[in-house]
Amino acid sequence: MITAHVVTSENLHLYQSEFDEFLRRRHEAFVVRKRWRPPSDDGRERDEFDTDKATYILGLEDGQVVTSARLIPTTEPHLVSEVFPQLCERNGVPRHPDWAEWTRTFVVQKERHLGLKGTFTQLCAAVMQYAVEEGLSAVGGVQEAYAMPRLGRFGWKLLPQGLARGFGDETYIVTYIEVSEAALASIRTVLGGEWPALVRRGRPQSFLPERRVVS
Amino acid sequence: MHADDVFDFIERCQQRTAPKAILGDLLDTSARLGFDHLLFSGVPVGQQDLAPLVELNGWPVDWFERYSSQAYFRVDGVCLHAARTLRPFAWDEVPGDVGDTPASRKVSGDAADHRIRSGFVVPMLSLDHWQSAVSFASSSRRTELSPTERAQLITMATFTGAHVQAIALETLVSESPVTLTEREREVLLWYHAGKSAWEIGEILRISERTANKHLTAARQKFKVATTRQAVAEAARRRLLHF
Repeated sequence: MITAHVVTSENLHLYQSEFDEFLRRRHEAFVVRKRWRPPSDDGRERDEFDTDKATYILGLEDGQVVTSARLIPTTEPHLVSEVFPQLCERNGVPRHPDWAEWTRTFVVQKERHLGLKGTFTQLCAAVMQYAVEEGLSAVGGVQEAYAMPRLGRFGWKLLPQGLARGFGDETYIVTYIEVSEAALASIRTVLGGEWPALVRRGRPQSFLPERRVVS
Repeated sequence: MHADDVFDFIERCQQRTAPKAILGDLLDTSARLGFDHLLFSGVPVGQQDLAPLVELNGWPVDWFERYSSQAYFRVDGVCLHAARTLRPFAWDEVPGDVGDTPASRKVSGDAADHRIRSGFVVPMLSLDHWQSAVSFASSSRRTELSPTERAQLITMATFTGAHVQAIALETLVSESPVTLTEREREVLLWYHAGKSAWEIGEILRISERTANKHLTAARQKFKVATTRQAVAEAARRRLLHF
């Protein structure tokens, strides 16, 4: 079972080595395996969306980063708004402070991490818990079309933003996932009563812009 | 068909909780792109049987009966290709190594006798099966789809796939749960993969008698008469995942 750590610009200094490992794993997953981006000289993958607006959820197991997620407010520049706006033909690019774009999820490729209760499901449960705790309404973004039934398998409701479209060998679709207590309960059912702890260390930082108290 | 028709379909689909109603709506909507039948199923691999893996069955009854009883899925190039790609494909795009074999050609010929002549497959990842797929079938000789129509089909198929999984989970939560021991699950999985009790015993290093004992226990837990039914019930309850 992973332990899911919330990492933001406020507590990044507590996660120097984990974050570096995360960037190296990203390089393996998205540059070496998927070839989404050209290789970088330092063996670490970063893009223009790795700013202090991003919140990371790092899944640690036996001291190693085995999975990850990156959440960015859709009011900020994000992958859908900057690279795939044409995939949101239904109502245009959704931009709401409580809708988070979810990207950069990988799972280390070891057999014990596969399966219904495996690392991917554990990470998804942690992301949903974080989203519920932060008061978000939806998380999502660009998905491989063939991966969508896995999200349904968690009992999650999907909010399509456009039609699927082929890019070379891949078919992408933009969809968000409704965030709710029910969605959290259903994925925990899939995990069979045991789910990852969500750890927040250091100074708390809320995902939504702080509301000013009017006196 | 317009993109809005696809989104309307998805919204209706998400309101529905009966698989039959979802199937009917998907059949009606895909009929507008020239399709008459469809099947949403786990893709059987190795010696797996098709029937327990089926989620939505919109094939003609006599054709499904023939296809499954003759184990056509083990030689049909469309099915074999669906197990090894995640890229959507028209039946006539199936590569020759699996599509152009005598056995696969015989399946196509038999299908044509049932007025099934062309089709389009959308493969998907599954957490329960090797892979799953929606196969749309048509009585017309060729499936001429524009890129937009392909996108519409893929979108409908994948959202349907997601929603059918979601309602299956909801149904399970409302039922009294059946839990299998790890051994019972293993013997069912191997039985599902076509192994006999003796072979299962060899694989798991237990006696044939013990293997049979686990199979009997699984049948009793599901209150069914045959091991095939136990496999089907375990698949429906999502207990057969790898």
